[in-house]
Amino acid sequence: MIWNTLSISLYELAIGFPIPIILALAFNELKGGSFKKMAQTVTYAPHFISVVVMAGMIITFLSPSSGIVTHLIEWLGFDAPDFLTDPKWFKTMYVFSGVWQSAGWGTIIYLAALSGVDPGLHEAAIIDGASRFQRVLHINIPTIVPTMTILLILNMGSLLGVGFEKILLLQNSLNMGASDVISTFVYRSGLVDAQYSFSTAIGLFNSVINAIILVLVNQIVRRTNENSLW
Amino acid sequence: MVSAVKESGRDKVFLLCNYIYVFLAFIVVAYPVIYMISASISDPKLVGSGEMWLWPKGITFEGYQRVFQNSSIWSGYGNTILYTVVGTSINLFVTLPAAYALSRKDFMGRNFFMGMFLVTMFLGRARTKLLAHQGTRYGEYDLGNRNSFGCFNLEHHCSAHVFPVLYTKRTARGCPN
Repeated sequence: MIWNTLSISLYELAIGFPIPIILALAFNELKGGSFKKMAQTVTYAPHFISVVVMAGMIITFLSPSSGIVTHLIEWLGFDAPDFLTDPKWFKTMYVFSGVWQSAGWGTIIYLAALSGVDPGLHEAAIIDGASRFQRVLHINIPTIVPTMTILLILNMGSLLGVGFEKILLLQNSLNMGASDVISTFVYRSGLVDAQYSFSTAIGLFNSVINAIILVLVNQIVRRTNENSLW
Repeated sequence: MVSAVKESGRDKVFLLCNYIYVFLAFIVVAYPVIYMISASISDPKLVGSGEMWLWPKGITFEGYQRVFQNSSIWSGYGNTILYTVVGTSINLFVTLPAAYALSRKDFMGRNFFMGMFLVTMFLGRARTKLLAHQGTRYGEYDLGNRNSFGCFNLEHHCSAHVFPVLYTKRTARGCPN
């Protein structure tokens, strides 16, 4: 259970943290125009979809009989795995649907940071013959590093607090081996089996570990650079 | 701004890759959104069988009719708006002074208060569950649910909104003293 929680959140961090950054850098390189605006608006849209609708869509798309993803994989000539019931696929399904939902929204804060890039730096770099890619690498990325650090520290703080609703909605008896995390366990033991003190104790334990991780990461960051949370 | 400079070959390749990347991201995100809108006005049978896959089929607005006829959806909206408006104003009222005070280096007991904020941020979750549980239990006896609104709001800005305090604090630190 702790392993499930930890592996899901590390997986989520590894995939979900860099993607908004790359997306924001890509948006930033697009010349302003209707395509840029449309792409931005559309990628924000999933953020407003409720978790229940989201879980319904995942189940429809990945359904073994009529799901579009299953059809696509079969059309490409592969055997489609049974995403919904196979414990091996639960984490991937969870993480990628989360990225799908929140990547666009996550770009907002990076785009705000990118708007603070000094145009003089870009002009100087162009005169020195830097290509676009080099300018992204050496001007844009260093500018957003402080924002990245802060968001990384905050994400580390919720390492053991994997979101509850979506996991509960996607959980079934077949994928329980991979989908049972601390928060769903707390819910089952506390509210379903009515062991309030037991589940509160687990919840508290979890919170304390989260707090310790946050403080530790913050300390490490404070030692290595100046952009710590406090 | 910089478009007056002619793009070099490398830059053209980079821009092309960039457009392809954004376009792919756009398609991947747009498809389910379109699907969702189509599904909401399609015949449920065709959606369930997978016959409807992009554009609406067997158009029916029955789903929307039911939504608009359902009175609890409207009271739900009322509650959502009330919670948001009251919650945000209380939150700003509490967050901004707290963040300003914490951003001052000459504020006595600064580290102590900061520590207290951080503790509530992490222990908040467990406490909310406990409070909600107690609320429902009292509700069965005599208190009714009168207190749930206040309880929710207090809880809300005590724990969940320590983030804004931290963020505002960082920003305020940049101001000249």
